[in-house]
Formats: sequence, C-alpha cells, structure tokens
Amino acid sequence: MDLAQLFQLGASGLAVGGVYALAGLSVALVYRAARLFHLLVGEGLALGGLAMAVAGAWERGILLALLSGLALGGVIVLLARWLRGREVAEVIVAFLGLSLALKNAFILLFGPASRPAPSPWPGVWVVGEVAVNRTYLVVLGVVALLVVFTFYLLERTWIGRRLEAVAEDPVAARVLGLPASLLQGFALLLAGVLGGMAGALLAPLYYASPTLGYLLLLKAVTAAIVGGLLSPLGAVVGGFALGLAESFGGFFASAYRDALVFGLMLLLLVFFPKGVVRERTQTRV
Amino acid sequence: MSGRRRAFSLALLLIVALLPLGGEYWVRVGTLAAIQALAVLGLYVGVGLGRQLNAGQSAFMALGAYGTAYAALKGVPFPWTLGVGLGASLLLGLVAGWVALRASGLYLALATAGLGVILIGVVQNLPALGATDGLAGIPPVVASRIWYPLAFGVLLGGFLLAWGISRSRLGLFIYSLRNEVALEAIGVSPLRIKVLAFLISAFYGGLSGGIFAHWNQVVSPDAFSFDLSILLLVALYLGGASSPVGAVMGGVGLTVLAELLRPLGGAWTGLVFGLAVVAVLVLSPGGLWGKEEACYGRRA
Repeated sequence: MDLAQLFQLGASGLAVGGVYALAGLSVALVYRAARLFHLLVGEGLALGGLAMAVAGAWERGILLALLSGLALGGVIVLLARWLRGREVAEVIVAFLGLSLALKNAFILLFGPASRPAPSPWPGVWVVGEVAVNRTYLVVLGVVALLVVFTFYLLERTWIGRRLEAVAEDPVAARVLGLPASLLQGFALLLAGVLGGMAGALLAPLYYASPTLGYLLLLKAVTAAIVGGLLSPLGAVVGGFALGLAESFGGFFASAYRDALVFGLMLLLLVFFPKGVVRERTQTRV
Repeated sequence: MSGRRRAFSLALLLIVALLPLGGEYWVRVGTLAAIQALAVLGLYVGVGLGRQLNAGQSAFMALGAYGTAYAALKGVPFPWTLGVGLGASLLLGLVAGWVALRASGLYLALATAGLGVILIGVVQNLPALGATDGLAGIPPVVASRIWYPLAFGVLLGGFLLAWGISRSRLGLFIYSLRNEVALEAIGVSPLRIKVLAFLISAFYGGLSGGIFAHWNQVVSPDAFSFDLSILLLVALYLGGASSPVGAVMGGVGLTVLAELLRPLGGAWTGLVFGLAVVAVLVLSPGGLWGKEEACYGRRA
C-alpha cells in the first residue's frame, strides 16, 4: 500500500464513517430520549438516499431527504406511543416488521434497482500524487456541520437541558412540569432527520437502493453500541471507527468486508455491551 | 380455544388437507409451508417461551440445508445426510447460546442477526459450497408428492415435541429465563437453560433446512437471507408467540399467504406481513392464536 492509496482509503473511510456517525447518533438519540431501539434507521437512510437519487438535482434531494426523515421520525413517534409499556421482544419484532414493510414499499415505489445519485461537487481534488474524490470532502463537511449542530443543541440550549432531564428520568421530569412526551417527540424527529440526511450523503458515495436498509441498520447500531447506545459522542466516534475499519478491511479482503464489520459488532456486543466510549452522566439539571 | 380461534384453526387445517387438490404447484407450496412452520416452531421454544430473541433463524436453516446438501453430494446415504446438517446447525446453536450468555434483548437479536449475515457472507465466498450459485443436484430421495405428507408428519412430530417441552420441567425453566434470579434461587443454572433453548431452536432450524435441501434439490445463499429470519419471527408473532399452535399456524399461514400474494409481485409479501405484524402487536398483542394458550400464566 503506497501513500496515495493510504490517503484514498482514509478519505473514503472517513466520509463513509461520517455517514455511519450520523446514523449512530440517530440511534443513540432515540435510545437516550425514549429508551427505544431505533430499528428503522436503516430504512431511514435508504429513503434519504432514494430521495437524493429521485430528485435529480442535489439541492432538491437534500430537501426531500430532510422531509422524508421528518416523516420517518413521525412514524417512530406514533409507534412508540402505540407500543408503550410492551415487552422488549414485542417492540423489537414490531419495529423489524415495519422495517420489512418499508423496505418492500420502497421496492414497489422506486423499483428494486440501485440508482446513482448526483454529487454536489463532482470531480477529483489532486494534491501532488494524492487524488481525493471531492464528494468525500462535501460529505465530511456536512457531517461535521450536523454533528456540531446536534451537540450544540444537546449541550448548550434549554431544549438540550430539558431533554437530558427526560433522558435521566421521564417520570420525575414530568412531575416537575416538563412536557416529556413533547421533548421525546422532538428527539425522535431530530433522529429521523439525521438519518434522512445520512442517507442523502451516502447515496452519492455509493448509490441509492431500497434494499440497503438492513446492512445500514446493523452498521448504525454497531456505531451506537460503541457508545453503549446512550452516548452521542460514543456513537460518532464509533461511526468513524467503523467507516475506517470497513475501508481498510475491505482493501485487504474485499469479499469479506461486511462479514468483517459484523464480526466487530459481535465482539462489541459480547465483550463491551456497555460501550467503549462512555460519558460521565451529566448532572446539570 | 375460543370459537373464533377454533374457526381460524379449522379453516387452516382444511386448507392444508385440500391443497393437494390444487395440483402439483400447491403440493409444493404446502410442503414449503410445513418446512417453514418447523423453523417457526424452533423460534417458539427460543423466543416465544424463553424470550431469547433470535433474529438469525435462517442461518440455522442454512447450515442444516448446506450440511445436508454437502453430505448428500459426497455420497452419504439419506437419513445420515440430515444428521450432518443437524450437526452443523447445532454447532451454531452452541455459538449462539454462548453469545446469549453475555447478551440479551436487542443485543442478542443483533448478535444472532450478525451471525446470520456473516455466515451467508462466508458461504457466498466458498467455492466448495458453490459460492453464490449454491449447490444443485441433491437427490430428492422420494417423489415430490410424497414429501408433502412426510413434511407434515415431521411438522406434527415437531409440534408434539414443542408442546411437550412447553409442558415439561425444561419448558418451565426456559419460560423462567424471564427471571434469571428466580432460576438461580431454585438452584438451576440459567446459562445451561439458555444454551439448551438455543440448541432446541437450532435443532428445528437445522431439520427444516435439511428437509428443504432434499425436497428442493437446490440450496443457494439467497434462500436464507436476513429477510427470511425476519419473516419467521413475524410469523411467530402473528400466530402468537406463547403457543406452539400459534407458531405452526403462523408458519403455515405465512407461506400460503405469501403464495397467494405472489401474483402481485414479491415485494407485496414483505409489505403485507410487516404491516400485519405491527397491526397485530398493537391491537392484539398475543397474536391471532396466542392468548388462550399462554401456558403458565393461567396456572400461576
């Protein structure tokens, strides 16, 4: 592996990892706010990507992906309300069932084939011997913006502080007069939007396809598990690590790229179920 | 059973009895229904009874099918081929059981799903197992129409076994995995029970896959996708996760309804079943056959 290859693999790993980071952030947000497993995240990414591919121009694609993410967030809000107080297994099966339904609905709506999606900034950026796809840079930029926005919202605003209170103890928060359901709903909608945007960013890197959902679901949850499902920071770190592992692992054994990622996931599940990157619980509220 | 449920069950049994009148095609559909219902029965013991979420049952089927197919193509005579498949599937059951010792709930579901995806990924890259084309030319052993009563006979045996397990001490222990502290308190190791539950699930999955290999004569990686694992779970919860009757009805119903939906296009099956399971879980959480059969709730 020479230097140019190293840079290319690193750049593509970081760009794809940024997408996983957003998806993982979405999973962590939902779990933190509502103690709910966001098993629709893969379909959210698939939908965002399809929106990007169908829209033709990327500006319209981003807008469509945003709206579709919002709609998916709304679906989670409804499902969470309907399944309140049910057994974990039932909730998981319901979400998996809905993801199956959504995937097949996408196939019926958009056709089973993969579609290319437009890049906002096509072409290659050449520095000396190293050529980097410009799309990677755009994706990384947007990911950085969204991550900073989300962390600012969570850490520095009154909404974030109230969300934190609900995450710590929804009953106590409600007793103290906080609109817990409203805040949870907000977090789920935000998670939906992050997922949709992640999908819109992934599509120009690979392609858009209605059948990518499950793979993306497993990857998003893997990223979130790095943070023990609860930590947004852990999910972001996990996403980037996963992207890099996939990029470099795929270089050495391309046929086993997915198997490698899920081997990593299994190791995490079995040996680090509480996460690798943990945050001290904040006690500001 | 309430009147409504009895009517449902009778209607389904009638369909099974009348299917052969529809000709060769419906005999095949019926056989597949029995094979898939067997895999769902395995989920009943693990997930329905023990709440050990298994989102990778298709991987157990795949190992059963590939083990059987490989042995048959190497010249192993018929019933022993199933033994090879079962052995492979039980090995994965041990691995999954070991994972279940350390993970539960969502983590266990993800881990089993991950095992399935890894396994199919490996199979797709192994020339010895035909890679993406799979293995063909597996001897059918008996004529296709004989497989129909044979598969339903095995399903009946599997049903009686599952029913017996649910009424036995072992079943009680598996059920009690919901409260591991209680199990430990009476001196039963929850770890052993977890592994046993997974081995039973694996047994059903492997047997189902082995029969599938001989009956279908072809096994290929895409026959055992993650979608199938989800569909089997959906079938269990549609039928009713707390009863072996629900599992059988869910499994048979899934295959027959999928066949009825096929003219509309393959995607409609997933759409209809996905939405159906959400509707059932929201409106009638016990599933269509489940509530009445909840075995220990009534006695406790």
